[in-house]
Amino acid sequence: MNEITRKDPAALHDDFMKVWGNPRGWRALTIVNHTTIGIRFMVTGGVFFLIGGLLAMLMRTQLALPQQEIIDAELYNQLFTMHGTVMMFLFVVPMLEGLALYLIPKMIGARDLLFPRLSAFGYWCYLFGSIILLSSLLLGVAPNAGWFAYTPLSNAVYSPGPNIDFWLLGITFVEISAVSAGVELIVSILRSRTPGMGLLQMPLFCWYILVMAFMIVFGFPPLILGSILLELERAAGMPFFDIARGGDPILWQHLFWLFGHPEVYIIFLPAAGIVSTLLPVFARRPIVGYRWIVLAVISTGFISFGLWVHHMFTIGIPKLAQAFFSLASMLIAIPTGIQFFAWLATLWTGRPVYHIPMLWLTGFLVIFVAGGLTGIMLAVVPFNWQVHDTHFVVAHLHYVIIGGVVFPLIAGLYYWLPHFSGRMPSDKLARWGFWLTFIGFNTTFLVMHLTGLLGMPRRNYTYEPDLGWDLPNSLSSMGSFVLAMGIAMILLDIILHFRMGRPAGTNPWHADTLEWATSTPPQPYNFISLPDYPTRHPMWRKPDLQTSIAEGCYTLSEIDHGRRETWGSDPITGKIREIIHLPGNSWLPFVTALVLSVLCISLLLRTYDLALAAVAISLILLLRWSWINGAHPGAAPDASVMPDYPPLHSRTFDSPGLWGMIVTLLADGALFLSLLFGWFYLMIIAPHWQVPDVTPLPWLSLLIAGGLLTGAAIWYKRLLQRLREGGWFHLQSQLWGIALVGLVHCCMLIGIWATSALAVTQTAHDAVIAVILMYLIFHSGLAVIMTMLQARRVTYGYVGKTAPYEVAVVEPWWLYTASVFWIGLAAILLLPIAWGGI
Amino acid sequence: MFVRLVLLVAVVVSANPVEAHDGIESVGDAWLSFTVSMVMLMVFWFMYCIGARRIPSLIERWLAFNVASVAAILALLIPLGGWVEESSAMHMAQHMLIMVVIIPLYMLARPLPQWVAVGGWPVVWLSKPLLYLSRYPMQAAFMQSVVIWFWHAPKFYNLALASPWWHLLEHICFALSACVFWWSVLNQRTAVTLLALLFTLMHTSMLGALLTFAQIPLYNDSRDFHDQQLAGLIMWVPSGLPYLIAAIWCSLYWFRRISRTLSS
Repeated sequence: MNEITRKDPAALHDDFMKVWGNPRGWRALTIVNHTTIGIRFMVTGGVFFLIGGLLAMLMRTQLALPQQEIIDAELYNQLFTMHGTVMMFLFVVPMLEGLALYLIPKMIGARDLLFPRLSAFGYWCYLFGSIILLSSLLLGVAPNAGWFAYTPLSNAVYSPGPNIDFWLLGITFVEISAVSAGVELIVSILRSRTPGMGLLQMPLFCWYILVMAFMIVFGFPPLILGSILLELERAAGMPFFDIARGGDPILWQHLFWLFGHPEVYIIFLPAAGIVSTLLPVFARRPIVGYRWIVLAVISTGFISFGLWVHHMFTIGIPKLAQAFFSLASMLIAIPTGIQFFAWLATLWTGRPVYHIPMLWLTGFLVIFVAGGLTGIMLAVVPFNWQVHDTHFVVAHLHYVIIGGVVFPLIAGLYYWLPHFSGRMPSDKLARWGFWLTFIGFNTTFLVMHLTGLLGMPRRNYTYEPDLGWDLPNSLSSMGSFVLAMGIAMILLDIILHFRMGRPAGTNPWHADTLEWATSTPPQPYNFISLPDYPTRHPMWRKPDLQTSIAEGCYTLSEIDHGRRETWGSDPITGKIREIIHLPGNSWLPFVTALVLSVLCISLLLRTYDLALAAVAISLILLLRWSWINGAHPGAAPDASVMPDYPPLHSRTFDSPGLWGMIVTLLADGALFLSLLFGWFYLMIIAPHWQVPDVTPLPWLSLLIAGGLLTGAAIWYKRLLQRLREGGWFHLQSQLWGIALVGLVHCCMLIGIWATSALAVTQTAHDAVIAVILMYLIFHSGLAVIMTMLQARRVTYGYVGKTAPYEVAVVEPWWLYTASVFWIGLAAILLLPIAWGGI
Repeated sequence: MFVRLVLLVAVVVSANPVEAHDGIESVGDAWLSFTVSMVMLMVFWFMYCIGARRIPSLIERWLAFNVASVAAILALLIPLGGWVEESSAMHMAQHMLIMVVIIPLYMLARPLPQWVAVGGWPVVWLSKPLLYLSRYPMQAAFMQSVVIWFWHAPKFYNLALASPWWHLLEHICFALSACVFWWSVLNQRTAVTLLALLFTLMHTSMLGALLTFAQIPLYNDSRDFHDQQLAGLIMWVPSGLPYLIAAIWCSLYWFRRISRTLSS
C-alpha cells in the first residue's frame, strides 16, 4: 500500500476503461458517470439560459417603444413568468449543481459521486420536467401568474386553465431533482474525500457547495410542500389558500419565501465559491482568511433562513415587523463583507495576472457591490414601499443575479473550459464578449433603476407615451441587444474553441486544486490512483502530481476485481474507513424518470387511472433499483479486497447509504416542519378557520395504530442492535414480522381515514388533517415496503451477517416515521385543545 | 462581595411586591413564589462565590457567572413593576432573557466544580440527570422545543399568568430545558450542534411568526395587538441572534479542534 511502484499508464488506463468506460449510441442514456452527468446538466442549463434570454429579448422588444402591440397582455404575462421561472429554476440552480456535480469528486480526489444512479435520475427528472414546463409555451398555455405564483391569482378560480398546473408540476419535478443532487453532494463531500483530506483542507469551493447543498436540503421542501398544497387545492378542491373555507393566501407567500430567500443564497454561494477558487489562482497566492470565509459561508446559511419576511413588506404585515426585518436584513452584510474583504486582500497582497476569467471577476466585484447597495436601499421600508413592483426592483434583482451569479459563472466557465475540452478559448473573442456583455448589461439595467424611480410598474405589457419612460425604455432595450451580442460572442468562442483552440496541456492556469490533476479532458475514472492529501494546495506543492497519479503511484489502483471503487473516508479527518463500491451504468434512472414524467403529464391531463398505473410502475422500477445494490453481484462482482485494505462498505454498518438516508430525512423533516407551520398558521391566523364540533378522528384507534408503529420501530432498532453485536436471531422471519406489524398499522391508518368524517373540500381544517394523514401513511407504507425488501433479500444472501449495511440504512426511516406519527397526532389532537378551542 | 450581596437581597426583599399583582387574589402566593425563586438564585450565587474561593475559576468564567446572576435578578425584578401581567412583550423579553442570555452565560461559566465543592453530593445528584439528557444536542433541542411550544399554548400560558406557582414551574421548565440545550451545544461544539442550533432558530422563529401575525389576542396579558406582535418579534428576531452567535462560536471551536486533531 505504501511503496511507490510506477506502472505503465497506458495499460492502467485500458484496464480502468474496461470497468469505467462510457458506452456509445443509445446506451449513452445509461451513463451514470458524474463527468458526463455534470456536463449534461450544464449544457441543458445553458440551452435554457438561451431560451430564457430569448424570452427577455421579446419583452424588451415590446417595451422599446410606447404603445406597441407586438405582444399582447396575455402573452406578455406568460413571457415574464416563464423568463423568471426558466432562469431561476431551469438555468441557475441546475447549472450550478451541474458544475458542482462535475467538479466536486475531482476536487476531493474521488472517482465518482457516491450515488451515481441518483445523479443520472436527477438529470433526467430535470430534463423531462423542464420539457413539460416549456411545452406549455408552445401550446400557448404557459404559466402566467409571475414566477412566484401568488395565490389567489394562481388558484382555480382566477387561473382556471392548465397554465399554473404546468408550473406547479414542472417545478416540483425539477425541485425533487435539485434536492436529490443536494443529498448526493453532501454525502459525497463528507464521505468520499481522498485519504487525509480533513474538512479544513478542502478547497473552499467544496465548503461553499456543502453549505449550498444543506440549504437546498432545508430550503426547497417548503416550496415543494407549497406546490403540492396548491395543486391539491386546484385539482382536488382542498382549500388551503381560500379564505372563505378557512385557508389563507398569505400562507403561500410564507411557504414561497421560506424557500425563496434561502434560494437567493443557494445561487449566490456557489458563485462566490467560484470567485474564492479563481481569485487565489490568478493572484498567485493562497486565499486570505480561509477560516473566516468558511465561517462567513456557514453564517450566511444560518441568516438566510431567518429573513424571508423582508420580501413581503407591502402585503400588510405589522409595521413593527417591518422595522425589525429591515434592521435584521442588514445583518447579511457582515458575512458578505468578510468574503469581500478577504477577496480584496488576496488581490492586494498577491501578484495578480489578468487572464480572461479575472476580467469577469472584476466585473462581478463592481456589479455585485452596486446590486448590494440597491439591496440596502430596498431593505429600508419606506423606500421599499415607494419602489415596490416597479422596474427598480427588476433592475436590483438583475444586478444581484447577473452580477452576483452569471458573471462568476462565466468566469468559472472560462476557467474550467480547458478542463472540459482540453483546449484554450480565444483571447480576442473572449474580450469582445466580456466588454459587450458588461456594457450591454449596465446600459440595460442601470437605466432601468431610473425607469423604476420614475414610477414605471413592472409586468405591464406596454405604457403610454410622454410619461418620461420612453427614453429609458429605449435605452434599456438597446442595451439588452448589446448584452445579447456579448452572450453570442461568448457562445461563438466556446463553439469555435473545440475546433480551433490550442491544446491546454496540464494545468494551464497553474491552479492549486486537485481537479487539475486529472487528464484534460478527464477520463470517466478521474484518477488512476488516489493521492494522499496533506496540503490545501496539492498542485502547487507537487507539480508532477498528474503523472504520478496516472502511473498508479498512490492507493486503490487495482482494478482486476471489476468494481468501481473510491475511498470512503471519515467526514472530519478524512482518514480512510472503507472502500465504497459504486454501481455501474444502468437503464433504471432513465426509465424511472420517464415513467415519472408520464405521471406528471397524466396529472396535468387529470387522467388519474394512468397516473395510478405510472405510480405502480415507477414503484416496481424503484424496487428493482434497490435490488441491484449492496451484495448483489450486479453491484459488487467480487467481494474480496487486498489484504491491508479496509472492507467494502456493504460489509460494514457505516455506509454512504446511511448518510444519504439521514440527509434525506433532514429534507423530509423540513417538509414536515413546514406542514406543521401551515397547520398552526391557518389555525391561529386564518380569518375564517372553522373547527368541527366533534373531533374528526377516533382517539382510541389512532393510539392503537401508533402503538403498533412504535412497536415495529423499536423491534427494528433492537434487531439491528443484535445484528451489530453479531448475533443471529432469525433475521428474515423477524423482518417479515416487523413488516407485518407495520402493515397492520398502515391498514388501520387507511381505515381510520376512510371511516372518518373528514370533509376535505369543505374546510381547511379537515384538508390539512388529510394531508398530514397522507404524509403518515406514505411514510409507514414505505417503511413496510423497504422492510419486506430486506426480508426478501435475506433469502438470496444479499442481506445478512456479512452484508448488514442495508438493515442499518432503513432504521432511521422507521424511527423517523414513528416520531412524526406522534408529533403529527399531538399537533392534530392535543394542540387545538391546549390552544383553547381556537 | 458578601456585604454587597446582603445589601442587594435586602433591597430586593424590601421592594413591595404587592402592587405587582393587583387584581390577583393570591397576593401571598405571588410574594412567596417570588421569594422562593429569589432565594434559589441567591443560594446558587452564594455557593458559586464560596466555591470559587476554594476552586478558582478562570476570570472570564467568573465574570460570566456574575453577569448572568445580575441579569437573572433583573429578569426576576421585571414582574415587580407589574409589567408582565400587562404586557406580553415584557413577559416575552423576560423569558428570552432567561433562555438565550442568562442560561447560556451560566453554562459558559461552567459552575459545576464550584457548586460541587460547596454543595457536595446533592449537587452531583441533581445535575446528573441533566448531564445525561444533554448527551445528544439534537435530543436536547427537541426537548427544549417541546417545552417552549407547550408553554406557549394559550391555555398553559394563561394558567401560568393566573397562578404564581404555575408561573414558577414554567420558568423552571424553561430554565432547565435551556440548561440541557445550552450545555449540550456549548460543550460539544460539533457539526451536530450547528444542526441543533438551526433547528432551534427555525422553530422559535416559526412560533414568533405565528405570534406576530395572529389576528386575535392569544394571551390574557396582551395589552393590544402591537404588544403581542412585539412579543412575537422579540422571539423571532433578537432572540435569534444568540443562536446565530452560538453557531459562529461553535464553528470556530470546532475548526480549532479539527485542525488540532489533524496536526497531531
